[in-house]
Amino acid sequence: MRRIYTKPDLCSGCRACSIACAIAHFGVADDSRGAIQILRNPFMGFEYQAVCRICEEPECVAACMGIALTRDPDTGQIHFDEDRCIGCWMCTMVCPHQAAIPDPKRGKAIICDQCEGRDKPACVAACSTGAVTFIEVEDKVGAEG
Amino acid sequence: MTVSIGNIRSRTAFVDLTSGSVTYEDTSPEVVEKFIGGRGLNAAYLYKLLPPDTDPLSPENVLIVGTGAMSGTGAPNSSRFNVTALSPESGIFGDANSGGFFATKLRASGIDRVIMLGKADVPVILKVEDGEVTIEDGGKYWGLDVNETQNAIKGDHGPSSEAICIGPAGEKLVRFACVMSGVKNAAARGGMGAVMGSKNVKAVVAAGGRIEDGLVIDDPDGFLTLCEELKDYLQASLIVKVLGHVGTPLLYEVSNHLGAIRTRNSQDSSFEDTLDAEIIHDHVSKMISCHSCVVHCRHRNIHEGEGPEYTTIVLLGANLGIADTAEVIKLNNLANRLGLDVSSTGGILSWAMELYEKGIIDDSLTGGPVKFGDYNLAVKLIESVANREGFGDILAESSRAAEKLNDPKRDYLTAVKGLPQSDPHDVRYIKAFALGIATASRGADHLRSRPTLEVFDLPPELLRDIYGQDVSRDPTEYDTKEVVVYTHENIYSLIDAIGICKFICHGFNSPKLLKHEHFSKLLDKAFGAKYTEAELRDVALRIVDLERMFNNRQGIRRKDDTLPRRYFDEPMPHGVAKGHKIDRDQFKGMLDRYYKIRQWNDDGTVTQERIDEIDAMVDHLAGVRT
Repeated sequence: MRRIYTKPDLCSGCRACSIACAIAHFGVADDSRGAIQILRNPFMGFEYQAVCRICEEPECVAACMGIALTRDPDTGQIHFDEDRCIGCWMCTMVCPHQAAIPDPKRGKAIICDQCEGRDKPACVAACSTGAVTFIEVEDKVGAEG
Repeated sequence: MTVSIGNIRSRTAFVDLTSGSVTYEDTSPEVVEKFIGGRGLNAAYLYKLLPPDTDPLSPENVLIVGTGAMSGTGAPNSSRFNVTALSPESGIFGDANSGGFFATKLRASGIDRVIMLGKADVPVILKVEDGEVTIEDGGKYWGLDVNETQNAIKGDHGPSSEAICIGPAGEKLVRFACVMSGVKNAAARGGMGAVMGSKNVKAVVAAGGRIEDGLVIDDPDGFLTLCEELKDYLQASLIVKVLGHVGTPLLYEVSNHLGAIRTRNSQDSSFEDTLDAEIIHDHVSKMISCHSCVVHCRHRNIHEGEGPEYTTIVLLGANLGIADTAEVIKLNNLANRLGLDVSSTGGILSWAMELYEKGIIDDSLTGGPVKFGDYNLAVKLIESVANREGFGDILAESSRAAEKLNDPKRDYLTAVKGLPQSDPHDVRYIKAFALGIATASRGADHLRSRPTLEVFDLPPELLRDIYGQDVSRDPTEYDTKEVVVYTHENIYSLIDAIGICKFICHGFNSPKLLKHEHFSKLLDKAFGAKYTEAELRDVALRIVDLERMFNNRQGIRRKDDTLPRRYFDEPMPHGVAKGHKIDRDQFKGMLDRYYKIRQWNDDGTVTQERIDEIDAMVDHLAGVRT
């Protein structure tokens, strides 16, 4: 299966990925509403892409109080039912990758859906450095049953 | 209306700092249609709002921070915004363009343009959030440098907030203080930071918005597909690749080889190779970028800063006779922290250095030696300018220091219309460069035109397509260079209104980059706006004419469209360019022809017919102060 895979060393910090994600999902150019976020600090000198890694044992799913987050046992994909999100922010607190994005003004979390239905995720299509890629990874889920 | 502007948003906030009130308007669609956004709409508002006989540092000046139509959409390199006011440095149209992350966040916060009027009683910051602007106490930030301010604002308003701010130089009303976006991006030219300081505004913070405050994209899938296509198209370009590798310092070696690097206040024209791009690169830890950029030309240097640009390494390096690579980068970082325009800083310091070395000024004025090639002295001078201490207080007046510096005719200052030249390139060799800095609407500045395409080895039919006629490829030829400058001024005024970086624009170093047809598509997919190529060209002409009308109103005439004395009188000393200078008669002829194609009067004024036409357009700015 294919997964979004990031390379922070190549990231220029431009946030084209975040804004493309927001446009694809909300129709609005607002990078704070991207399911991929660029953590950057000009003083400490880093750029880091926070995006769902599709954990095998996702903390966000375990912590979700509104049962908005579930894991597909066959594919490992995390599914997010926004209507069931109550904005408790448990997922945003427990995600070790800072990839569950709080949207306090809407009272909802933002979770990567890997752009199901697109040829490739909007963030990958927008990246100009190769820092956000969509690559084939070994399918461990099936083997684990 | 002949053009459909679709959903181009131009939500404008008027902040009356004197009374503390904030009002809003959606810019009249008739005006958006004619000027699109960014530099164009800023010019329209300034022209309309500025009272006659305004002192640039008085509360009556109008400070406008405005985004381009495409700014913040996620289109390639759409990070730009303009800061516009009556310039306290030149006394004419003041307008500076910057990138970074602020424009995108401002628009996502629900506001596209902030117009500051009056003056706050005490230091304040403006906070933009959820489509509203609030005036908040800024006392805690006053006195901090740019890095400290940006860091403190991130701490107070959240890591995703983005701010523009002034440094100590802006607070002290240094006439070439800039407005800084982040820690390195500067709306540098013309002293916009001094205007902000004169209004007691330390920073404008964009803190985000509700989803309904965001920019709605008309055709999300079509727009994302177009952006990806343009990204791939641009990244195939050699100039984009090279800029992404080493940034603008790539131009240093080229100009130096030509013998056209401004050295020791243009007394010389070639310098050390210690400022070559590859050597600069030894001091770089990573190439980073502005929002949605496909070029990535910004350096994170190993001396606790970002940059340097080509402009900086020459104006604060060769021009000051300082060759040590690390020292020049440290001067770049220092100027950025203090919030100074590096171009004017370097131009004014080198002016004083030559005057001192020639004995035109002495220790009684300067308080000690002011000489080329001394890094520690340069640090001291830059700090004293930013803090307006001692001799620095005189230099902080920029070109207005001429009388005190005993050079009343500015014979040794490389400036036009009171604005020191930003281009590191000595313009005596490339005649189009010379005309470009003479006619630029904000004074001696290369980013109003910087014409280069005609000297490249391009097919004649391609040149005809770009310029509309045959033009001379010879950089030293005067004939037809008015057409070249005209064309580049037009494309740059348009791209500054659209809000996209010049580095992906077809006038800048390559004919293959984005042009009108691409801008039409972007505006269509993003906002459903329908502009033909011809209509976009009309917008560009309008902006240039409007800025000229503003400058005419400030007294600018033909006599002001000229060059520093040295460019006419002294031949260049080195390299390929050796022996070249500007011939006065030839320059006059070039200017005559330029006015003719601009359809301006012989005295450099816009015709009354055109004034009436544009006045009628600007009059549609309803609900604003008259």
